[in-house]
Amino acid sequence: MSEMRLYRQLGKAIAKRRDDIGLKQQEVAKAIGLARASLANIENGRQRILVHQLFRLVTALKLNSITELVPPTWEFDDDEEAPRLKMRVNAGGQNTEAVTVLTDAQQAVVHNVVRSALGPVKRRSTK
Amino acid sequence: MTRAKQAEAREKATDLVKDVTAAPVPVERIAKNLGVRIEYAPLDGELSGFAHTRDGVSMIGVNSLHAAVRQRFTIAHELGHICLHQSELQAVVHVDKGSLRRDSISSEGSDPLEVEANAFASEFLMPQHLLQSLLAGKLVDLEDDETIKNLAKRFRVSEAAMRYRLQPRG
Repeated sequence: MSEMRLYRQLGKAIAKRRDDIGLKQQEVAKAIGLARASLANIENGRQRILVHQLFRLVTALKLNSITELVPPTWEFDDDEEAPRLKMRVNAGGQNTEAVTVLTDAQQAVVHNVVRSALGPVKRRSTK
Repeated sequence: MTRAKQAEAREKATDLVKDVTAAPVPVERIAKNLGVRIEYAPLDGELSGFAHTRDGVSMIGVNSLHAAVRQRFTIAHELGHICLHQSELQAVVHVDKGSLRRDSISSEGSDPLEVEANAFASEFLMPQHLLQSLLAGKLVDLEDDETIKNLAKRFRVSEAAMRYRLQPRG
């Protein structure tokens, strides 16, 4: 399901930001009125977050906008078998395969921007 | 030879901006006139942007969280890939991670495609004819921070990009 990808991506973004500014799960959980275990689940993409909690998180993580944690729009990929885009990455001047240098979340965001601009990736024609 | 390819990349850029009469070069407008779609999106801080072509439509993704000057360089670099490396973009999305500017400075050991895209971007954003008319024959001392700063501001590029552009080419 496409929603799972969204929550996994959000969870990773939260964990990364929390880590970057050196806060503990306990501290952030308290600021948004959740138990530490709930935040841990959210960061793992196993628990869904409510909208008001998302806004509280933005403040707790010293961000300006929820779009620093989630993309502005989300294309729901109802067709699970839809092919994923292939990516090549220029990392510091060297071109390499995406799997080695990009996180799932990074790939998912790129995938989504391409998808909303050019439409879903078509399956190879079987005509 | 790589150097010939870089010269080719610069020529391609020169051709696209030859009608621009004053800095800064309208990067987005020129790209759009070429039929390239530009999407601004909050990408992970490490990612500068990406380029992709599907069914004859080319697009550029730009990290909207980066500073305007960096976004301009990203668009110019990706446009370079679209103009020069079309066949590489058809089946895959080309993603640029990390600072593109740094790569342009230490181009040694870099992938030739990236060196070419940076040569294109450098010429595209700071075209020879605009630099010449602004400098009116004066030589720029690369140590003269004030002049570099003013030129960078005028062209809406980073000071490092301007310094790199003004270096004599070997």
